[in-house]
Amino acid sequence: MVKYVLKRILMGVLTIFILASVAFLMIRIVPGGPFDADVAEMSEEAYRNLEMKYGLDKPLYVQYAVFMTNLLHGDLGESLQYTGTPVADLIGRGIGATARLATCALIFSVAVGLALGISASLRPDSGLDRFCTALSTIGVSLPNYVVAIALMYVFAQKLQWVPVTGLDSYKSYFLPVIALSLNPIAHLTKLSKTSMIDALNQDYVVLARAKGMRTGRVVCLHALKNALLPVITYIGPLISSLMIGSFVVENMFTIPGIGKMLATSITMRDYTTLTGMVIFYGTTVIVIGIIVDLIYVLIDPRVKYE
Amino acid sequence: MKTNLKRLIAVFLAAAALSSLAACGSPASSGSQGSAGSASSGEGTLAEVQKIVYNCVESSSYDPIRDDQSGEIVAHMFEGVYCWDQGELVLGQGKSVEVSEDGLTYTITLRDDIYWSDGEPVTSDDFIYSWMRELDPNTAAKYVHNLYSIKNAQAYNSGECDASEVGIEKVDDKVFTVTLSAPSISFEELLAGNSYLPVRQDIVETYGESWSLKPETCIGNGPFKMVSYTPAEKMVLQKNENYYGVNDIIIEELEIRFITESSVEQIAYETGDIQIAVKPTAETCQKYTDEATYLPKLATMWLVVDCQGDVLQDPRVRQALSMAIDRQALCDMLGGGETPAYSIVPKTEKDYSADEYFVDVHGPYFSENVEEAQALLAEAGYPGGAGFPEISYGTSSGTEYENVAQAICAMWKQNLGITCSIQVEDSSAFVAHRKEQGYFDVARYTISSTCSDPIIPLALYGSTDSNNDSHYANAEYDALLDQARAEGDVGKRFDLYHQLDQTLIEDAAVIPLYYPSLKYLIKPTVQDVGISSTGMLEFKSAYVLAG
Repeated sequence: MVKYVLKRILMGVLTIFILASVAFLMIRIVPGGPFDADVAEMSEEAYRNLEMKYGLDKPLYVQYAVFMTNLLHGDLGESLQYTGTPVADLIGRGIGATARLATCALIFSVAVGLALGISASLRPDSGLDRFCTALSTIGVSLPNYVVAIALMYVFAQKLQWVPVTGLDSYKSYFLPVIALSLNPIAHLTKLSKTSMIDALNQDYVVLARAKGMRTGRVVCLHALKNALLPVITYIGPLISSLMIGSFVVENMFTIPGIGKMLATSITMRDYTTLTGMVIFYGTTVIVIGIIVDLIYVLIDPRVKYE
Repeated sequence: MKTNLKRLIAVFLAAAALSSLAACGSPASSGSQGSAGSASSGEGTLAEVQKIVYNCVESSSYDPIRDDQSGEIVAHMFEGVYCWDQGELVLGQGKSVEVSEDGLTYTITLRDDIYWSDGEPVTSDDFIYSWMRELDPNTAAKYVHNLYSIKNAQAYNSGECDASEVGIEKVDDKVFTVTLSAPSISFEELLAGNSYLPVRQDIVETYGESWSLKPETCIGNGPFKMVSYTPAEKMVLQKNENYYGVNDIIIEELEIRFITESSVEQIAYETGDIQIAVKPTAETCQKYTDEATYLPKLATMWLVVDCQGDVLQDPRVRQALSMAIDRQALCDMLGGGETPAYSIVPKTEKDYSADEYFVDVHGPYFSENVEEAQALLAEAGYPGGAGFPEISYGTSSGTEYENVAQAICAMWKQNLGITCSIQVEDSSAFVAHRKEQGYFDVARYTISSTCSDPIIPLALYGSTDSNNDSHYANAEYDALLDQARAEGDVGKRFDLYHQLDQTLIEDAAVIPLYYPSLKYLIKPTVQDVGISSTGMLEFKSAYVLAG
């Protein structure tokens, strides 16, 4: 087991190295440089001075060598857009809001998705089942942007129950969390329903029922553990996607998270911030992947890693 | 006692507000920059809490030389020798500015009662340090060209001369002189701009480049000071008690939100979360007519034309393209106070020799005329557009820009029988491609001037200018530009500006489209918000009425 984890960590480091190199090259291949959007309002001297300040006047291999050397020392560099601000600081100041939002959305989606999915699996073709099917379709089809605007219109503008923007009171979490959770709830509902139906049809569950065990006990003690395995498989990438894919919701609700920062770094060609963010997200995905693998072992003793 | 005083002030202010409204006409009408505020509320009593919450575009820094947005927030916290008050350029930190007879030397005397927000006095050294810091090539300031009118400033910034040769000299703690390389009609206005704002040497050197992002180190000399800042969410400013004019400022607190989506801004405005919306759509402005303010922006929207391209190198073709555009139809489509442009010089730039708007003195140098456009195209060898290759129209993404592109291409198709393909790219890629000769045939272009001087857009088309994206090369135009830059007499200089304008337009090296407008929604309770010539809001005279 320890050997497996160490192997995964080593593979993760190699993956990050490749990811960082690809991100470094890709962003430089895309047309337009970090100062091009403002070039019409800059002098030639100013443009040249900026390139020299950030070493962009040097050949690409030199820039790459400097980048890799700094990375090995744990230095992600200085943002080209936020002058004087290290990329690590930028990530640090945005990660709190994104993590809070993602955590709330994760808990909310898992709780609602599992509750709906399991309930629907126990009452096939009931009103609840049909509601879950409809919710799954709507949740998958509606983009975050539309959900956010609709929620704002109803709950902030018409009912005035919650603030429109920010993340500075418990009330302000409601709308962004719902907007961010709708899609995962749809997936989790469908997934947990299917896997629970499978689990409920297993011989050991049929036997438990035949012995007269109550449905609640059957579900909680026998079926749920097995039904959770595919759900956990989904939760790993879900955490990553909540962290990465939250930029639309962050932008709409004016939440100072890193999702918004990633989007801005692409449009502004902020090379250092973008590569830093890619490394950060890559690391997050790898770490979560390892944690999910470990949780498998805890839940299902049949799982063994060689 | 305090309440009575407040009421007295309220009555006075309400009267002042009403008279200013009467002077300006309806705030919803288009007009010159100045104060903006919706119609006065019935009672005219000051609100208990003098706080304004409004939306603004966030900058990546609030260091005056690093601000990459409008400079509005910086202008709340820092003040130059001059500043804007109710749309008027007035002395700020400066007590007096004397100009030598040859127009080259400015002797600036600072006020005696000016202090930084931490209580330290503001001195000549602060200004000199800040300007020299910006000119230092190692600082790599983006908008350093605003200082290039100072003698040897450009040479120092290019590393061609020593700092001691730059035309800035200290006389004493409150007096310093600036020598220009050529007389300037806009230097006083520039002295109010971001590039000329002072910063504190000890703060910059102690706390590094990010000093302006933290309230404890963002030490300014302006009417407001930073008390909290949550990046990408909001900033709170409070009245600076060390500002010399603090007793005249009624607003106690400004809360600035950084809402990027205009649909969200609209909801925030309608719920009362914000009192001023800065990016309302034309439809929203029409919905709140009484609260909408339109002001002409110090900018022009035009198309650059690839003058070296195979087809468009023929001036007749370029003229035909320009004449075949119905600019009023474009403005009607946009519906937000835009007006047709027949020059690239912004509508509100003045001709100081005639005391009129520049574009009203001469011109327009062409008129829209579809028949003439068709004749010109036929003369160039493309009757009815026959044989004319498809041209590429480049634009950056954005609803307004994309709608304009589609409308213009439809007009060219209908009026001239030529087709164009629209290429939409993000800003960085678009600007890079626009510079490449032959990448786009025509492309959207705009710059927002930092001060009123027609040379700013006209100088872009000098054959050696790095921003000459039309790749226009005309020796006569270059010679006129050189003459204009060196000319000390205002009348002669403006004559040269008009000649430049005429040459550029008659050669159709650019196709002017329209003058964009600034649109604001301001709640009726918020009064006397000032707007500078570049569209920045200022709140030194603003107040909030109850109700």
